[in-house]
Amino acid sequence: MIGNIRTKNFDWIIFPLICIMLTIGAFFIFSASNEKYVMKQFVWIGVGFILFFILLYFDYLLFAYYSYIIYAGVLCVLVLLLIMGDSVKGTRRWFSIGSFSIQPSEFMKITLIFALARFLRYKKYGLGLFDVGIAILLTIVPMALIMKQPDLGTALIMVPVLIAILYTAGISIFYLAALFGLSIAVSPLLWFFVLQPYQKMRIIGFLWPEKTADWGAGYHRLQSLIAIGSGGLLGAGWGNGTQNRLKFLPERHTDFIFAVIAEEWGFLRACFILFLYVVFFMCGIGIARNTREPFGRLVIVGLFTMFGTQVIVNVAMNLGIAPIVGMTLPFISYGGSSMLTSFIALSIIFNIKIRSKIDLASE
Amino acid sequence: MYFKSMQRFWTNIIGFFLILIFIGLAVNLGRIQIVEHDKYVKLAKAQQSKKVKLSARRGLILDRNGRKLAESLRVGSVYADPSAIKDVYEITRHLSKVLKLNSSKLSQKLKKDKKFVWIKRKISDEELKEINKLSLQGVYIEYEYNRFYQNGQLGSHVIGFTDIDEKGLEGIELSCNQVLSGDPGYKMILRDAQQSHILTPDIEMQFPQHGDNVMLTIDSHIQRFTEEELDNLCKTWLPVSATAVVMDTTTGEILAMANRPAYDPNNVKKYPSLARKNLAITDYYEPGSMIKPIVLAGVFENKLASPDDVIDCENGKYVMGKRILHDSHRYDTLTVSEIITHSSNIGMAKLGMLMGIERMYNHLEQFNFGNRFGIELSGEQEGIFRPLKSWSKQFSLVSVSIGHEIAATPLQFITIFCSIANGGHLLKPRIIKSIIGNDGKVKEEYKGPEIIRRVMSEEVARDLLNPILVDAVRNGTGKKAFLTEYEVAGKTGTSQKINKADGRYSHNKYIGSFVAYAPAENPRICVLVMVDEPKNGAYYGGTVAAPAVGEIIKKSLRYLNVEPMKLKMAMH
Repeated sequence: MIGNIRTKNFDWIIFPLICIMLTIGAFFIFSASNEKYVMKQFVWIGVGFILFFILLYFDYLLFAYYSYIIYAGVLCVLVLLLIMGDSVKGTRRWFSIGSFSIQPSEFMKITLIFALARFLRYKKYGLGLFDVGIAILLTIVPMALIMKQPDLGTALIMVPVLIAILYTAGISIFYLAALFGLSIAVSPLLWFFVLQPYQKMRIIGFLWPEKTADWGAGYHRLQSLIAIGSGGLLGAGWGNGTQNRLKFLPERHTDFIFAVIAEEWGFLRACFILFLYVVFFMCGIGIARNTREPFGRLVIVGLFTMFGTQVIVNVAMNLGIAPIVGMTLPFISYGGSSMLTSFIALSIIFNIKIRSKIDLASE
Repeated sequence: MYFKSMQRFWTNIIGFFLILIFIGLAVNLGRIQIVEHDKYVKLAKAQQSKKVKLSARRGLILDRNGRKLAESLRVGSVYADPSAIKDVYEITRHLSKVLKLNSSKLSQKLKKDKKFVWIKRKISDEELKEINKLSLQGVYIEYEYNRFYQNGQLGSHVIGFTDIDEKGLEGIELSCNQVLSGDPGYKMILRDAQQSHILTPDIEMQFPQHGDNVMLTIDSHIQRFTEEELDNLCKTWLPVSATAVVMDTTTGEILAMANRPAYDPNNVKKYPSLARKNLAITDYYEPGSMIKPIVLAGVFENKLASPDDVIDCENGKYVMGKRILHDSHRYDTLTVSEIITHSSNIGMAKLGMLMGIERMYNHLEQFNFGNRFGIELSGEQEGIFRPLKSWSKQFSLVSVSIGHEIAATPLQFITIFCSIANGGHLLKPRIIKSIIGNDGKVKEEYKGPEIIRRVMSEEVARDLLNPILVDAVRNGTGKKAFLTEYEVAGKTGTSQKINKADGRYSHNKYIGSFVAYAPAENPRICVLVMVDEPKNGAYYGGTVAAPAVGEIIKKSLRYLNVEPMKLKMAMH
């Protein structure tokens, strides 16, 4: 059955869902910025679709074969980036190609999922301490490099991804609990040695917003709350959100696009956006359930965990109930690398579903 | 199978929790968007809109004929936003050249960590044109109103002046500040996070209520005659100061009020504070002999003497206990009428003594001595009129009769003297004729004379005092105010100034004054001129003040088209 593409397995729920998200996203990127960004976004979407179909042509197990090499390659890029990348606002996250910029840390997320899935795919009945240690090491190295950039959001997303993959790979509850304990124990070290002052400020600003609203840390949160709150039940109408138009809301077309949607579209239509994501994730659970091949299964779980964390954390930070870390809303926010990553992830999900391999080990 | 159903169970649990998380997000969304909606709308409004003041135009000050005395015109003021300026040197170079400003001070201003600094307020039209042509980055024009006084010095003490923000500081500008300034309006403008202004068509706005116009009783022509005469007499007699007031005898309206030294309200800072004082109301003087007709009115009212009674004038020297009274010319005997004509102190003292202390006090009290008249100008003084209990039994009666131990502002005294001219009524002096709204409609009008009280009978004023005052000008001390065209009735006054050092009367510092009304048979105007410390060898009121009064009367009555005497006689 290897290599057999079943076109009837093409997901006709997720695909139109994504198209709706992309359309809504383009409209609100226009509302929050200008034509220039919309045109760029269209270019990324176009490139994304091309990539989507190209990748669909190759069997995903090919990626499994090359996953360590890709992992090592992207890791090198991250190291190079720290040495010679473009510095924007004191951070080194991008490589520039003409007027477009590439953010390698975004691709690292997928690469890591591949590497973890490759490493853990046949360990269903014997996941030992050593294996867990290697999995953690595989995760921590890129995480540290990305935190150094610093890009807290992308780095932190790797934690739930790791846990989900380990859980699916059959880790014992004991190890899982120990892993939880370990990450909680490590977090104070994170505070003292890794976090940048502005990141600490954001966390303080999140914990005590009233006290810190005037010194900048709470500013983003407050502006987002004002935007969402003044939207009301039906919203100000597309292009009429004053928080958005008068530029009070920071990062309007990227991290805070959900606040723009909530302000201009109101509660009911913002809930519709949430509903779209819920449908997307329910489909994800269905696909994971039906995938018997272990590499594909682990990758599916990893990718949906990645999307899920991104959506939940992004919306929660827009609502002021999570600290502000740089994290985009998949398929809606502006951003080339995040869009390409999302398309690659989507393509792999479709790839796995279309081929629907059976578990070779168990047959 | 067991494994499959276990897996189904756990994925269901995960799906369930996922849905729970999204419901949690939606609930939070609803809390912010629906429950706390009003709170956030308020916060949004507070940070997005800004109230901008729309200044009201200050009202006009007009003379009684509607001529503009003070007017507010729109002018440009230059300000800068230093945070928007990149090349301070370049901007400084341009601005200092066009606006003639000190470039080092200017560049310091432009380097400040501010969003707003005034560069130069109220610039000329040429400067404005230049600035607009340059259109420098970060340099802006705001339009304000500036107060202009097109007549310069003319009437400056009455009109007063304002500060750069058009707040009245003196004169009518101060006393009528409320009426003139109006109410500023506002508009709400949306602003963005960078604080730059964005105009939207549906902004909330309240138009400013422009100030009302104030029409004065002043006649600029008569004011000009008055000021010209003051200038002339100042040239001749070099006094410390001089004051003149012209009043309409029938209404109490002030037609002119002037002082020297004066100032140009367009350029107040150049003048010393003395020049800005409206001495006609802020300083008081002993009236001296000018009070004699007022005292005589009391004598006549009480029928204690008649004009033709003869009084022994002691040949110019009258010993009263410790005090010796002198006349400037020696007279053996004078009639009551002649006492006024020649201004005999001894004769007047004797007439005063006929009144007795209490009657004298009551008589003068009804003229409002020692009280303000409440003119609509700020800074009016009340003068000095001692209470009866502090009058000395021996001397006060005599002193008051010849205008000592009592003091009045020039305005007070001309108002009091007018009561003789108009047949016995004390009228309230007026400086404001009407308040006119900025739509041209009269809002308030002061109609007709406001009679405070009758202070003497018409018979005393017209039949007894009037001929005596006419005689004082024709044949007496006021000769220099004599006019061939109009019959003038008046009284001179010369008083020694009180030395500030020892409180005694000075022997070389005098105040010469003259008060008169005309035409005697049907009085129209009353004029008072007071000259403080005249030099060049003369100090008598009849010498230093009377000629000016005569000239002011002549020019004013001609201007008012009052028929001259001779013409009337010819017609008869």
